[in-house]
Amino acid sequence: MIKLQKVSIKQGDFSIEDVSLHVPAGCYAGLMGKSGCGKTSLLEVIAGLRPICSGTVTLNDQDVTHLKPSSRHLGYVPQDRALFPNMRVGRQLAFSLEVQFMPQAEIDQRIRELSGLLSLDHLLNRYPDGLSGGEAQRVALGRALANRPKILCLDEPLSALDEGLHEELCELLKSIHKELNMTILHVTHSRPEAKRLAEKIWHFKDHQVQPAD
Amino acid sequence: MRFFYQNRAAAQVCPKTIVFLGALGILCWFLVFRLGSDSRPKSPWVRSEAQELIVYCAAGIRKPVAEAAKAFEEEYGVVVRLDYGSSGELEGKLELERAQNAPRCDLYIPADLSFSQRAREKGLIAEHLTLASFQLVLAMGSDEDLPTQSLSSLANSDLRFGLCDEKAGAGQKTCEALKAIGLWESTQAAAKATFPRVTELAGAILSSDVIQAGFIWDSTAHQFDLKIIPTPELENIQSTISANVSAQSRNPTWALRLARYLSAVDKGAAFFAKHHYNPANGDRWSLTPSITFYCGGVNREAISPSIKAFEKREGCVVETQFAGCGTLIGSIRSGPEFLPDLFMTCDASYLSMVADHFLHPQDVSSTRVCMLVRKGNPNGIRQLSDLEQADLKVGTTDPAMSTLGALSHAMFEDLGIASSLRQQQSIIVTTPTAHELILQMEGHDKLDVALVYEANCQNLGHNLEIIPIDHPLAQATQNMASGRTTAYPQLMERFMNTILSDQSMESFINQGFEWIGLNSKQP
Amino acid sequence: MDWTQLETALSGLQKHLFLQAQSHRPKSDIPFFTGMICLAGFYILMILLMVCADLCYTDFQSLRQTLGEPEIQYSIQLSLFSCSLSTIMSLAVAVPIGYLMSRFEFKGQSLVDAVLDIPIVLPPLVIGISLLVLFNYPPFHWLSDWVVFEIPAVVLAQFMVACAFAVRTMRVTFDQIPRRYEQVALTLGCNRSQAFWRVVFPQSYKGLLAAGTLAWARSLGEFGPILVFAGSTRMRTEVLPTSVYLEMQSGDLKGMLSVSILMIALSAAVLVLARIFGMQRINA
Repeated sequence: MIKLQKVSIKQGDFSIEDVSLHVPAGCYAGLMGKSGCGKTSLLEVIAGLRPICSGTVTLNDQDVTHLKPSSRHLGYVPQDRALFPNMRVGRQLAFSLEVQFMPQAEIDQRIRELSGLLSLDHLLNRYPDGLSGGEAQRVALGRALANRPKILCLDEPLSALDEGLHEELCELLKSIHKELNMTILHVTHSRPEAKRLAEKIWHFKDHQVQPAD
Repeated sequence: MRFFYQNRAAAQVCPKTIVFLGALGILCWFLVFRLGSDSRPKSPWVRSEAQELIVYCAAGIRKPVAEAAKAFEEEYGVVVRLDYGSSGELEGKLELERAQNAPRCDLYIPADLSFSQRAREKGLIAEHLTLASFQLVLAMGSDEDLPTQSLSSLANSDLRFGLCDEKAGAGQKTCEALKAIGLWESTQAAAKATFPRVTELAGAILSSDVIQAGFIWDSTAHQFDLKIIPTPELENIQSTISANVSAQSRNPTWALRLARYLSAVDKGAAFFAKHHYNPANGDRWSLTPSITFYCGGVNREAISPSIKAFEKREGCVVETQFAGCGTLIGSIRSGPEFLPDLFMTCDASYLSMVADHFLHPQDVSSTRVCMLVRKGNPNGIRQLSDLEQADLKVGTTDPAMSTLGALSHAMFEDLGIASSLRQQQSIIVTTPTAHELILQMEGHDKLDVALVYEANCQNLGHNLEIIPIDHPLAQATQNMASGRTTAYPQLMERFMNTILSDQSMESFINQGFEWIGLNSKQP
Repeated sequence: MDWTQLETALSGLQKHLFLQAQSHRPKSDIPFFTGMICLAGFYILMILLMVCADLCYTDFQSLRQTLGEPEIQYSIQLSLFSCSLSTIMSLAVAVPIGYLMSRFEFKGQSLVDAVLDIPIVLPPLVIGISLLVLFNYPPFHWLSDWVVFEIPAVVLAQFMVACAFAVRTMRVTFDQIPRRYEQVALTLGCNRSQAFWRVVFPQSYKGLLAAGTLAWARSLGEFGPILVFAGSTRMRTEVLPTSVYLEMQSGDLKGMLSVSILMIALSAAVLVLARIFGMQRINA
């Protein structure tokens, strides 16, 4: 589960005050709002990439407010995907496992699993600049899922895709949620997308998060 | 129809652009003005320095001087007032002005060198530029027959002749010439009349029946259309006209400019030639001559005041290059366009390397090589051979590249300590010039001794002292010479005189040099 | 004028504007490219002409004679050694400074920025004398015997200047690498060190190559601080630029140009090789 209690952020002219959010465990939640309202900042707070002025962040019943990002054990897919430019796809997928000095055999096994799940077998030796939009999105997803996180944060994962790919990835996300039973927080500005995928939808409006009608 | 909907923002000019363009415009105007200063003599900056010059001119040389002065006035807008009189009269006026502390004269142009020499001895004049020469002759009216050709029979002849007063140039010259051949008293007694000025005598010869002939200048004779009687005794009796800047002139720079104009081979000389004088052909004309001066770096502090004073006085520009003599020699050898107008060395051996390009050198100063040690002389160094001490750390300049280094190592060899210094590796650092060595001595305590010139040690820190070296090789002599191909040989003469002046001597002595220049009182 | 007339006038205006827009043709690009190429070509030509002038003024005999001198051979070896060492030291220092200045904001950052620029703006002789004076004080004074007027002084003097340029280059390099990569790396279980070495540093190779070549070139050309701090002792602390200066001092123009040509050839060779091998590594 993801729980934000009265979280406040202040950076320069930008500020959010007393935001609270509770995503139950295993829930596919959608967070909607206009561009620039602070949705990405909230995701960064959850991932531990942005400091907060007050409030608490709880993930899976553990207070992670002061924990480093590397200790929060969640998957994060940013809006621009941020695939490492000088690593092949295979190494991107293996990244979080290599960092923990996992045995190579286990790493290879996990890569096979992820490739199968996300149809990345033929892409393992490619560099990110040789991938299409949909392929890159799947690689980013695979990278985030490699370490089996219980929580996945997605920042507008489908915004730059055409209709066909959009449909394909919606199905993929649904099947990942179903198979892996993860808590997913999906940020989007598209209502149909949120309605299609999310079990619960929140609106970020006037610096406040409110459940959608 | 004007379309008001056009994007006005695009048509507006950014204020920063205006400021930038304005600054660029000012810079261009300044550069053009400064670069073109010599070709724009009527600019307000040049004019404001002097409105008027007063010239005391011997009557006999009025015509060429007046014409040249008028041309100068027209070119540069400086009014030139000419006061005529006999050379002696004008000298008297100069003395009176000095006595009354009421200076008026800027330029004094007598008809004979003896007047200018006397004026210099009295301290009435500063600079002296030769303008032209002319000859003393015996002239008569053109319609007269030539009566005699020998001065020895002149006194006994029927010829009615006149003389000039000894105060006039012509009169003084006549007196000198005739005294030299023992004919003065008889000739003076036989003269019909004496005139205060040569022009008056010439006028009398021309118009009066009383005076048939007289001792005047050849140019005056031509001016008045008189016949010159060939006289063997007067063949070599020449007089030199010179322009002399008054020591009390209030506008010495412009006075010098006028003097240079009068003497210039491409300006004043034409006027003198026109009036049958023999022009001296001085430096070619430039309002603000630019000269190149190569000077050894060791002389920098001592000579800088003299350069500034000379530039100010002459109204010229001295482009000085201070550098190691090696660098300067390299430039001199690169090609004729790099030859300087004047070269002053750190040591006379450098001038010998390029002697072909320069005229006769003159010695200026000398400085000795010495040992620079820590205050209190902790290692007890008294003489050069003490450098053999164990664990002593010595610094010299590069022996292959620097005179100072060459002298230092030559002394080591001469004293027989060179090999032990090498074996002990005592010389731990060499540098291109003494300046780096002094910086190293002052900045850090690793070096114990450095061999430098005494002249480099005028501004030492309180933690260092000098130990003199008593050795014949421990001396460098600075000398100077003007370039053979300089366009301004007379200007260079005056520059060298400035460098050899009393003020310059004082400056060199204050900087630790020994003075060996001539043309100045020795301390 | 009534409203009908106004409407008619405005629609006529509209039509005129449309036609004008249709007939607009952008101006030619030729003057733009001509100007750029002329300016660039002028500078490149000047450099090549300077090198040609040097080559024409000296001769093969002079060059061979200069290369044969043991002092010159020593100064070539010392230059190669000291420049390489100072470059490595510069990069080792420039990478952390560039990274910290790029990634973190702290109080007094602009002051630190200014301090890092000091070696660039100070005259070279001042750097030399400052180093000399610094070594008067402990703990530096304890190392004086080993450093001052010795080869380590050459390396240190070159490093002080070259590093300032390397820092600037590395800071710009790290500024251009988005922080997002590190953030993602942190969420994937990295600490900052792992995020830096695994993700950020590999992306900075091009900047590293640029900083390294700049530092090497600066080290080779720098001799002002070396003159005062290390001296110009032949067969000891004399480097190539010092040789040029000493030849000039002695009035030997041909000798000076021979050494200059040597420096040009050496630096061109090293820089070109570094680029070839460096770009191969980056593109691999």
